[in-house]
Parts: sequence; structure tokens; C-alpha cells
Amino acid sequence: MNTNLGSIKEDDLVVVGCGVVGITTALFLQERFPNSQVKIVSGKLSPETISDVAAGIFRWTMRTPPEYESKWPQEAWAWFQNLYKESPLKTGVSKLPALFFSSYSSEQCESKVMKSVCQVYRKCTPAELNLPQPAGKFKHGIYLHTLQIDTGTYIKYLTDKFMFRGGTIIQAEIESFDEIGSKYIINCTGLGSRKLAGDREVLPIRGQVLKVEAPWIKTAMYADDVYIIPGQKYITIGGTRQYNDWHTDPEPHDTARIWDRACATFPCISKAKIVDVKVGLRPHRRHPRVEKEESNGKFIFHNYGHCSWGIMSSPATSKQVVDLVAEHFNSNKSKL
Amino acid sequence: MAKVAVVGAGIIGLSTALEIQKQIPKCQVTLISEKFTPDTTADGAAGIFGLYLLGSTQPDRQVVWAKKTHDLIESWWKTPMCGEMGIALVSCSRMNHSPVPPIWKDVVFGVREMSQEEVAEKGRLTGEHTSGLEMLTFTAEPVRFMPFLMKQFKDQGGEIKRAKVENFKDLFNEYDCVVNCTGVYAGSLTLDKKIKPLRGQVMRVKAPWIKTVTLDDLDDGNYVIANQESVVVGGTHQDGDWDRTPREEDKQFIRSGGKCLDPSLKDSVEVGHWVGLRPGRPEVRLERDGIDKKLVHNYGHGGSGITVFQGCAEECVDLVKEVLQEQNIAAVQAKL
Repeated sequence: MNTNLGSIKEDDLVVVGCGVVGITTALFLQERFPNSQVKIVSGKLSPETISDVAAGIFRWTMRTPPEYESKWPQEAWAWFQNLYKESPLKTGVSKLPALFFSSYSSEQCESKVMKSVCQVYRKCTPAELNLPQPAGKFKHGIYLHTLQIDTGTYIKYLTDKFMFRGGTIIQAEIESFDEIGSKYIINCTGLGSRKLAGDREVLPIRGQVLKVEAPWIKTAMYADDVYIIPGQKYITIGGTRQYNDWHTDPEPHDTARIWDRACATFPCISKAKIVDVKVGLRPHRRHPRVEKEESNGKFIFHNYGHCSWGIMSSPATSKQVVDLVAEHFNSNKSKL
Repeated sequence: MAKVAVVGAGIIGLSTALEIQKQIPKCQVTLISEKFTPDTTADGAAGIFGLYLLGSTQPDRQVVWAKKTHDLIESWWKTPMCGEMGIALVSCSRMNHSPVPPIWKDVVFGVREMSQEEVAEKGRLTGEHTSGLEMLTFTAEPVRFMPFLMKQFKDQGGEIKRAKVENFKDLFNEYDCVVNCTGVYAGSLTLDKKIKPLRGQVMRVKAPWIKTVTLDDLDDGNYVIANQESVVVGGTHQDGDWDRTPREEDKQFIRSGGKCLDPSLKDSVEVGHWVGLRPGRPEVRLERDGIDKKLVHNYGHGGSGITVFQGCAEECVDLVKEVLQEQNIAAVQAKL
């Protein structure tokens, strides 16, 4: 494993962070700038990134910056649809029917974006509202067909492409962007941007999940705080949303609460075999930051703060940040 | 104590035997069969809910049977035993179904006409699909839930006899009522020339990204049905064909047609091929025998055994009660 920061050249395009956002951005940079060296510097690599914890369901409830509202979701959806058509096995992308129940309000389950991208999107019927327990508790529901991404498989698929095209990955923790010798940095450090980019707005929303084996679960189900999301190998049961909680170890109380609530609402999950308990700190921000910054003689292109929507929005935000890089080089007429 | 024999321990016989125990507690039920699960006709089936190959059986009757069965399966889905019993909540798409709306539209959840965009995504070997209906319903794998029913039957005092019945008359001395649930084999025990095998060949593959059910309701249609540990790809319905050996030309039809319906099957791994002989008949025979006063028939359910078993069992028990009443059996008198 390459840990040598010294191998970085001034003209390299260096992506910092190798979660799903980082690897996607790096791949897109390679495609846009075939004559450049694209390198990734990251402390953690898959399967140890936050992306690896996620269930990977495409459920766009993110507060998208208004100028990108009609662009990002559609681009991301099209990207994953194409990967599904290419090969669910190799890319990790599957089709997934899903039910969203709420005992509070219809707003909890509805999503304007999902209604616009999903082929199938409708309100639940009264009979369907009685699927979660107890009967009568859940008064609102939406049924739709979406996509689900097995993150480990997906990141590997992207990484293989990146390496095949001559990309380099350097595993190293940095305290400051100054440690990186290139003029161009593409910052995909998620929660790390609180320190590295000095962005005090970035805070963790802690999520604990259970990874279980339950191959009889073929449809995703959400009911208030409970969610059960099937992937190709495991089912993810969640979850928690603990604001400004930095604890990365699994908490037994959270496991118990997640499990008890899931079984009470959907007894069908009761005999699932728990295989792992994982924690991910979602990088929360009012919305993702995708913009250029000049700092200490470097050009830093930010792409961080995706909170719960990293995987699903990564193709769109990565394309957005690569557009910014291209714009920079065009306007500065630098060699590249 | 009344003594009732149920001949045939397939899904019809087993569910009928249980229903007799439930409705006529003061009754000794004996289940006599050559074969038991996992060697019955239904054991190889995918178990998707759907009225199929029931000929001219009265539609109203079909719907009543189907509703009782769907409700029962839903109640199984809502228990912790769901997974072990092989029950799954699935999105089911039926292509080219006619008529629309289907008679069973209020039995399953959320029947909806598919958009042209959805229909166009699925291919077929010849020509194109013209329409589709999509819904939420259940798959119930008999090879998984029948052992539960067997255990329940035995725990409730049921008697099991592994034997081949050559003539129903042999049973009339010992039993107050005999129920004929011999399915496709009924022709050798009755004078019924109408019961014929509808040979069904299928293939099972590993494709864990496939979580839904797609069926083509046309005569030359294929189907792809997600089960717990594999995906069933089918299939054939060959009239009067007793051959239980998987045939090469049927395998080719299944492979090619399956891939048209779901191109992602190209990444699947074949695990096996199987043939089942559906009990085909112009209509279901659920009635008392015209000559033998002690004999009740419940056979000929085509491709719908798993879809109608509970409703048929309940109707059959009404006839059993009639038989016992005529013989002034105390057990039945007291209940009425």
C-alpha cells in the first residue's frame, strides 16, 4: 500500500478522501483530464469508510441547492440506471421496490424528487397501511420502485476502473492540505472538512445499523424511525440519527432499540441473523458544498457535506465539481 | 369419535386435513399418501400468488378461495416464522394479462396498470408486450411452509400413513368420510378422464439482485420469480405430458425467454432444473362423489394450488360435515 505523500507532483490532481464521493470524483477527473495524473490521498479506504456502512438506497430527500434541484437528482438517477443495465452483479446496483410508512404525516413519506425520477410512485392503499404493526398506527404510506447500491461492490467497481486507467491511491492521514504537494486539491473529506476546510458547519449525525441475513426480505420497508433495506447479500436494519455525536463504537442500547422496534413493527424480520453492527458518522451540512476556494497558493475544489445522501448524489456532485475544475482551467488557460 | 381419511398429502390434502382438525375438533384425521413434502407437486414451485390454469372454474368461486388464501398467507407474513415458512412480500408484474381489471384485483395489494415505459423495459422472445399489471403480493414457498403444516397436523393429533391407496372402497369400512386430494394422480382412482398433467419445467438460478416477480400471461410466456435462496425461471405447461425429466429444448426456451424478460439474468449462475406435473382439469373438482356417499373430491387445481388451497379447504370441510351429518355422527351434530 502506497503511503508516500512525497510522490505527489505540483500538477497532479489530488483528490483527498476515498469514500464514495472521493472515488467517484477521482474517476470523473480521469475521464475529463486524460493527460493529467489523478491521485487519491485518504486515511481510510473501503471497507472502512462511512459509505460502507450505508444501506445504499436511492432515496433523495436532501435539501438540494435550488440551482441544482432539476439537475442533480436526474443525473444521479440516470447514472445508476445505466449501471444497473450494465450489470447488477458487477456494479452492485439493484432494482428495489420500497414502502415508506409514517404514523405522523404524509410529508414524512413523500418526496417530490422521488416522484419525478421513479417510474413507479403511488400512495399506499388502506390494506397496505395494515402491513406494519400495530394495525391502524401507520396512516400514511408511499410505494415506489427505486435503486439500491451495495457500496462495497460499487466502490470496488469504481476503484478497479480508476486503477486500470493509471490512478494512484495513497493511504495517509493529513492534518492540513499544506501537506499535499499539488496545486490542485479536490476535497472529498466529508466530516474531515470540519478541520481541513475549517468548516464549522460540518457536524456528524451518528448512524448505527445492523447488517443481517434475511433472504426472505425482498422489499424495503420504512416505518417512522425503523428501516429495513435489502441489499444483494445483507439486509440493513436501522437506525439512529444522533446529532453531534462522535462515538464511532457500536452502542448496545442502540442495537437493542433498533432491533426491538424493527421486530415490533415488522415481526417478519424476527428470525434474521445479525452478522454485524456498524456505525457511520454522516457528514451533515445544510447542503453539500461544491465550490472552488483559493487558499495558501492552492486551488481547492470542495465536494463534501452530503449527510445521508452521499452515495446517491455522488455521481451528480462529482460531475459538478469536475465541471468547476474544467471551468478553472479554461478561464486560466493553464496547460492541461 | 368421527374418523376421516384424507388421501394425498400435497398442499391441498395437507391444508384440508388441517382445516378438518380446526373445524371438527372431535374428529380423528388420518393423512394417507405415497408422497409427502418435499416430494409433492407443489414442493418445486416458486409459490407466487396467482390464479392460473383453472380453466372454466367459476370466477366468483376462484376469487373467494383466493381471498381466503391470500389473507392466511398475509397472517403468516406477520409472524416471526415468516422467513422459515418461506413467505416474502414482493412486487409482481404480470404482462399481457386479460381481462383488465382482473377478477382478483381486490385480493392482492395495489393493482396498477403499468406505464408504456415500464412495459417497454421488458422483452419477450417474439414480438413485444402490449400491457402489464403491477401489484404487491406474496410468494409462499411450499417446500418451506409445508413442514410447518405437517408438524401442526401431527401436534394436533393427526395420524400419518405412508401408503398407496389402490381403491377408495378399501377405506370406506374404517373411515366415516374419505377426502380425495390426489391431484394429478386422481385419474387412476376415479373414473375421471378430465384430469391430466400440465407439465411444468423450470430452472433455478443464483441472482440475489433479483427481488421481484415478472410473469408473462400469454401461452408462450416466460417468468422470473425471486425465491429466498434462488430465482425461478420458467416455464412450460404441456398438456397430457407425464415426463418428469427436464428436457433440453425446454431449458433453451427458459434461458432465452428469461433473458428477454430480465437481461440481468446474464450474470446468473444455474443451480438446477426441475419438472412438476400440475393437476390440470377444465375446472376444479370440489364436490361430493355422485355414487359413493362417503367420498368428497378436492383436486384438479391446475397451476393455482398455492393460490387457492385455504379457500378450497374450507369449502371442502363443509362437504365433510355434510357427509358426517348424514351418518348421524355425534361430533358433527353437536357443533350444528
